Amino acid sequence: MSAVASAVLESWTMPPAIVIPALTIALLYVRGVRRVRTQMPAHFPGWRVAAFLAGLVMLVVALASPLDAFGGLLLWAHMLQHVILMLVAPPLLLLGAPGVPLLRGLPGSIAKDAIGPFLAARRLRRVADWLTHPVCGWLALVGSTWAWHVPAAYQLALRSPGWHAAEHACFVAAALLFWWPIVQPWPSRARWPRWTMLPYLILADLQNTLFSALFTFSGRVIYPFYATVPRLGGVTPLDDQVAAGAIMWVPGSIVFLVPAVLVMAGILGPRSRTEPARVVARLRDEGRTNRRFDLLDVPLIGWILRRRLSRRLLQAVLLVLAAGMVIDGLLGPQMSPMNLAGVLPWTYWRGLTVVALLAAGNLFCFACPFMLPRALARRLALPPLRWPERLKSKWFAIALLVAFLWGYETFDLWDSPRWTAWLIVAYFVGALTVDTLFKGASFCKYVCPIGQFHFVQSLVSPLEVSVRRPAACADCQTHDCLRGNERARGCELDLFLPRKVGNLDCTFCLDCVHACPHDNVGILAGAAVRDLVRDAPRASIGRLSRRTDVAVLALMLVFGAFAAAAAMVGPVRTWQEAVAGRLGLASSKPIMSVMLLAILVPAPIAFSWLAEVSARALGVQPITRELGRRFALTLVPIGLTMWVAHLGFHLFSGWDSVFPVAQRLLLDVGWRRAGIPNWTSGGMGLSGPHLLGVEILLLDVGLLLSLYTMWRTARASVPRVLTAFGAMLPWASMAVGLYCAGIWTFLQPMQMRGMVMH
Amino acid sequence: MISRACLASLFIVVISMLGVDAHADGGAVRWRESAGAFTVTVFTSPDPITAGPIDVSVLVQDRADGAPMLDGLVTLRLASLSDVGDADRMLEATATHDAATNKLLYATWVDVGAGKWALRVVIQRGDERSTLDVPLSVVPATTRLTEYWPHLLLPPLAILVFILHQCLVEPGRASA
Repeated sequence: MSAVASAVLESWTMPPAIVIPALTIALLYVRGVRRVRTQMPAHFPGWRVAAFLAGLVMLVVALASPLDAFGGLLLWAHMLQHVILMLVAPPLLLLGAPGVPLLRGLPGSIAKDAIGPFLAARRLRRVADWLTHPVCGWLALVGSTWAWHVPAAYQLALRSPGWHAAEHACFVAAALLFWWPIVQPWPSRARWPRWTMLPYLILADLQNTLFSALFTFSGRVIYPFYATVPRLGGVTPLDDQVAAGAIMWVPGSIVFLVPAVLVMAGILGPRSRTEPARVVARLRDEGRTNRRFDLLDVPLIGWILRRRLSRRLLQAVLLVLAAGMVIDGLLGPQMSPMNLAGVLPWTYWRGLTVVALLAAGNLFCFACPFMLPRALARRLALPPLRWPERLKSKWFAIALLVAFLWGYETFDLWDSPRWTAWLIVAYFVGALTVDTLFKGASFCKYVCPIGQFHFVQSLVSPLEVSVRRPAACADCQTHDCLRGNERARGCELDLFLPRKVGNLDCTFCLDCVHACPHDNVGILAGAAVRDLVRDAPRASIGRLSRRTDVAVLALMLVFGAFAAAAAMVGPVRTWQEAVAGRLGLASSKPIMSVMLLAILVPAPIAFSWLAEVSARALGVQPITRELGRRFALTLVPIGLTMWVAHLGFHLFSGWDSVFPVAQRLLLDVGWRRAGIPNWTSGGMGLSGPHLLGVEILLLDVGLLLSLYTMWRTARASVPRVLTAFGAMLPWASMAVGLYCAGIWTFLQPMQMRGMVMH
Repeated sequence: MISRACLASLFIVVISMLGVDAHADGGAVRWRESAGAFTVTVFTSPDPITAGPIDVSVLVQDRADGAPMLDGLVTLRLASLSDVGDADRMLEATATHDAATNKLLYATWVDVGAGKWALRVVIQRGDERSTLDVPLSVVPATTRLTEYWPHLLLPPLAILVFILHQCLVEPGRASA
């Protein structure tokens, strides 16, 4: 194969915006078909599934293959892309009768609670009936074809990626409407007699012939854009246009005429009957018994997680890395991007743990290396003391967390491998000392600032360690999940599984999984956000509405997320230097310290008070301190997404920064074959604008989840809609304010300050 | 629970909006000229060129038969011609096939400020070397917010859909 042909074939764009939704839809469809088949084995034969999947593949081919890459240079490639989008992919998708399988592929709660009201709404059904009417479908296809091929519109799409995407979306939507009455996907019913589809198709073919003839016989270049681009393969713009017209004409006509023949054959053939209403009702009933996703049931992953050795191995790996960071931090070069202690904790560990929190759960605590020496020490002697009652709260940990966040910025921890190494050593010593003296997991529960960070953020995580069948626990007399047994110790954080709600205080140690004699504990889906709304009594924690310490911890972490990001941007640094200059200070550090302390502690408390006062002033009753504490927790989603956006930025922009550090280490120990380190980070191939888009979307999600939990919290506590709205208003305003602050921060130039070299 | 519904819907919407395409896609033809043994076409995106990261793609063809040249080294050198802001700023980048969507092109991203720029494209293949000078006029970016309006539109749209959902779920209670 020639180099040019090879380059052409390699020009697949595979944009995530196309590929990921296509894969998601394919998975949902296959899952739904498998469920439908259990009740109606004959209703979804293999050809339906094959047709639907082929339709998705054709969409991906049209939008991600070299056809897309060359559409701006060759009109025939662009036209072939349009033929696939309008005449090939949509009928294939509809042949798969995707409505019911896609609904059944979704978790039952989504189909019922989120989509159900829309499907049942009369007005929306009327709109859908109108859209799927044959007249509407025919006009949509013909209208969009002619409108988008007017030179001005077509060239606009060629010049603007946004309009190009809009053009394609318009084509696919119009084509789905056009093919709907022809395919008549189950369980929809025909609006017109079947024979009317013959003139429907033939008229569409006639307009297609006229349209194609204009291209083929025009004699002049219709789109001047193609006259300005370089010509490939010696094809002139006019030849290119003729080829485009021929593609529309011949394959286009075949696509219209073959269905016409099939419709005719169907009219003349025997009739089949379906029972859509009864079938849909049966599906609805069956859908209520959906089981929750359990990570422990996933092949391989579940097997690995069930082995106690897996956790030990992960802890051992992190322990070795921690030892490496300490040694390199103390003895290696004191330039952060060149040192393991500068790169691993601040670029990788932070980024990966917050991404894991958002995507799965508290995975860092699962693999926490600080617990490994403790476990070894406890084999030698059991701790003699109980953690003092007075200190059984989060206040001590909050103080440590404030000190850490403040110290991190004030003393430039990210830029000091030596201090980072000492911090790791201090952590090991602290964990070992506390847990050698005190019983249970006192360090994790009451001291560890990292643990508190993860506990709070994991309230938003999609997975939780939970009971599989509550009925099995009702008969349990031994409570091994709490007390332990000869196989495993029970929960050291005193979380009694039947009364455990959410992830707060759960380290994902899986001791309860190993201890339960009924195999009744899993890592289940469904904890996300819901736990923020519920105010049920929680094992070992009580009601969150009565825990001021947890509310303050949550608020501090939310405000901390925005403060930590803002501290990195140019205008904030400039402002701090200007204030320091005005005050005659040699350094802006004191200003940074004061700013951080003010944002971390007094600001959230002052805001909570203000929210309560303003709600009372608005006459919202009953506003109680308990409700305020619950509202404080509803800000956790926007806080977590800000952390993910900020720390994910460092992770993705410095993704490869560990490689030159590893090379340097190997060279330091005398392994010359490691090669010369290249200290320039290339990131993950994501350029600044793309990362910024992802950051904004993350914050969008955080804001929406926070507003949603606020609304649910308000509605659960206040019966009247307007009163509930008034109750959440101050907190919603705060969420929107934080969102605006986050967007402003993202749009400022980011100071990488020693994280990576560019 | 509806919370799962919200999360899943948001996930799908967000994924659909990501559009994270790390590759350059060509853009508008900015300049076309024969230089030495090559015919060179320079594409830029966005159109018009606005301050910030821009995509510069280059198609190098054999001058004689128009065949794309794929084994060369394409270097871009940008010099600011402005008196203020980016005055005297110089940028250099190597355009590669890896960074291009269309693998016949050489592409790269460069971060430019508003004003006049001189782009020099240097093409080298073996001993053959050609240069091409392209004037670029970069207009100020009004605000970066305008580039991300679809991202910023997501929250209000989602809130509207949710309000509609709530009206459908509890129509009688909305005015309670």
